[in-house]
Amino acid sequence: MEFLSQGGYAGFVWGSYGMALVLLVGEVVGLRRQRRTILARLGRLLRLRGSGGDQ
Amino acid sequence: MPNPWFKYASPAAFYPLAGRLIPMFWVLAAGLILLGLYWGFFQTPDQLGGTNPQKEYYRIIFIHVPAAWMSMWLYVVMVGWAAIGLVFNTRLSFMMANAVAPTGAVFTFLALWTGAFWGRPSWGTYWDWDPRLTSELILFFLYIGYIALHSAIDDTRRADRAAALLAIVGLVMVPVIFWSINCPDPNQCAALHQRSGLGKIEGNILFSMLIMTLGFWMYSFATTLMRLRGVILNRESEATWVREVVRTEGRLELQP
Repeated sequence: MEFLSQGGYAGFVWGSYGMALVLLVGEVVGLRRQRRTILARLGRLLRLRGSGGDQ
Repeated sequence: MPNPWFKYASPAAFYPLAGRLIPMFWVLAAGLILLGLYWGFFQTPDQLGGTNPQKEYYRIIFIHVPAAWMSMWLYVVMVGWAAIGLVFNTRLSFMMANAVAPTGAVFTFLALWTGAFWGRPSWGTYWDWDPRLTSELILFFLYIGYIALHSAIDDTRRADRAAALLAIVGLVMVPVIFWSINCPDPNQCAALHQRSGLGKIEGNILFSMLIMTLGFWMYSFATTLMRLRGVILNRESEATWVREVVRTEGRLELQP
């Protein structure tokens, strides 16, 4: 508990580390989602052409 | 003699290489950040400085300084790739610059945010128009401006060139941030950041700070390469090898 209170400056310390966690994890989650979106979109495009969508 | 550097300048060759490098950078980033956090919280004194010490809130340093360093370094890297793209007209260089920008913006915002949370207990204010704070804020707007300008121009080649020029002009902010502490007498000017010698910092604090910086750097490699792979797929979507990648990797990764 002494660790969590950080000498009474918990709000400042954990506010900083919390934002770091949110931003870095958020960036990675966003990048993974972005990759799935790109693969899905290009895959749809491919299937559309494969089934004669461009005739 | 075939030069391996030129070989990997082709998106088709770099895409699989980046895919193999990303897990390696994740392992390095996670290991270094965990070590840096452990050392920073458990192997360091509770106070920083001698006569008028900073209390526990100084531990924001392990995020704040590495994030600020990365914000400047990634801007230099982004400008480097943009300049190479302008000079040699290489597609992959412009894509690299594109991929670095959002991670740079994240670290710039993080440096500003943690700075505010450190400024409140130490200076008594979250924000002040101090030279270093102001120039770091302008750096943040430059990253945002680069991203916005690029996405506002439909023709990718024109977007690359225009955004690269903006980035190069903005490079002037990096030395401005670096020297914005140069205040010989604290009573004569309002600079809140003072010249800080790394040699004067307690050894364990310095160690944690440097380890966290390396961890953030490895993190930047990982996210930049992830984003770069997406940019390559989007821009080269007409190439045969991309169709092959979409077929095989799409089947593997898009399972419901």
